[in-house]
Amino acid sequence: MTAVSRIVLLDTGIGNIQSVANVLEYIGAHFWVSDKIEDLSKADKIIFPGVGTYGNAIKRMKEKGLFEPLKHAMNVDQKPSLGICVGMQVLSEIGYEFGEHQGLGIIPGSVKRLQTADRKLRLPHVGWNDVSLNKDSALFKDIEQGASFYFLHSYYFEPSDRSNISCTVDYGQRFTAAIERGNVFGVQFHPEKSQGPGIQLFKNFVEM
Amino acid sequence: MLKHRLIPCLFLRNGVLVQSRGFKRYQMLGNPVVAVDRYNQWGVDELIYIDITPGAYSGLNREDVASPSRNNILDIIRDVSKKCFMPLTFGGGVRTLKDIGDRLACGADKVTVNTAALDDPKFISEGAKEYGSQCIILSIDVKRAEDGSCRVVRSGKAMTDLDVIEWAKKAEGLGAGEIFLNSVDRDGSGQGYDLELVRTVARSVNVPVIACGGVGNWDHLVEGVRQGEASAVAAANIFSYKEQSIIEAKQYLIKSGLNFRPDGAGEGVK
Repeated sequence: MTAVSRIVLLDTGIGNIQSVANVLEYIGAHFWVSDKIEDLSKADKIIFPGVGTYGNAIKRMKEKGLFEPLKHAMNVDQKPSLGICVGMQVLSEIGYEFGEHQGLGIIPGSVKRLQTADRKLRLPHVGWNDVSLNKDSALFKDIEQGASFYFLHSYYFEPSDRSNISCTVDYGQRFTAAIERGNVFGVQFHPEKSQGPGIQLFKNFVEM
Repeated sequence: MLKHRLIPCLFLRNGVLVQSRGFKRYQMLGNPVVAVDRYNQWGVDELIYIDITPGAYSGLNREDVASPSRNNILDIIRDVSKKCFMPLTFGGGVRTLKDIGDRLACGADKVTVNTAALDDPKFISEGAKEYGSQCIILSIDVKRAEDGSCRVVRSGKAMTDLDVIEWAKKAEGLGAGEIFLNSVDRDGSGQGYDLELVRTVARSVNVPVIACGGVGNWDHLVEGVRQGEASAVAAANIFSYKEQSIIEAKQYLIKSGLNFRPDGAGEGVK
């Protein structure tokens, strides 16, 4: 790393911005919170958290005029970007939560409801679960195989190309816990709520 | 595999942590933010704060202590979330969509709704639609009637005719993401959870159930998971006085063969 990267924490109106800001502050990252299109071009890296539903996330992004600029920043400008929870899910092409919604389409695949009925597992998938790292990912540097992260969701990302999956988690089925493709990263869990390993993950993103 | 959760529950009255007994007697414990420092270091899995201040804050501010006293809940959420990189739930006085939005914006991950949902069950579905089911926890206070049936208690005091199972199922249908089940009879008693109540609710719904009320020793936590079939076990008073209590509790649960995250916030980093 030659210079300190400037990170925009994108406020799409659907994220728990404060929690992510708290961790970035804690690790001393150079960041600011914004919902302005021009800040996407000023920043070196982008983080976009998301809570709520897939459709609502897309709707809010469009209302704020961030949908196309965000796509452009990731696809054309190739800025390192990190989507969290629903922020990760909207990287897909299509989401099936309360209807059918078109996503950002950065990483081919779709977002579907977890199938847990036959296993008598409860939904949402809430709590600490251990992840299985299946490739050498810069985002998971110095994080142990089997580290626990905090999950809170009912839908999961199924990418068309499974080699985009950097780690998985088991809850009724084994599914995507984190995804990456080139400069774009997404995590289904909440690193900002996952104490040690979560803080390390943010450090890795800031320093990559 | 998904782990069970151990959740300290903190009751706030006028911005100060208090201990409750039967929802009637309260004893002051201290500053809500200082307590969080300890919990964060000891690696608890989640924290639930319930503001039980009746009406408006009555200004118990003290200027002579190192950590500032706070006289509104949003400031407390902001302070706590700056120190606590773990899931945070705030409840008490959540009556409008704006109340939910404000708490989430300040750093809460979830809210508990109780009285407002009893007044108008649609509040649950509206909250879930706007912010997602994952952040709407229905809090149910329960008391056993003379015939042994479990009834919903309103505002921590008045027993209603509403059956707990009926209410839990209805709330799940409306989009509640979890159920926080508190036994008023057991609150502060140290006699253990009302296991039959916990198990009956856990078997009636498909969302996670958090058991609360009555924990007096670590075996009670084990029972809550094994016999109560709860996804998470919460307790308040037992964690307030014993030093290192979270570490002890975690070790006990793991030694008992249950799947909990080991204590220690740095766990999982090389």
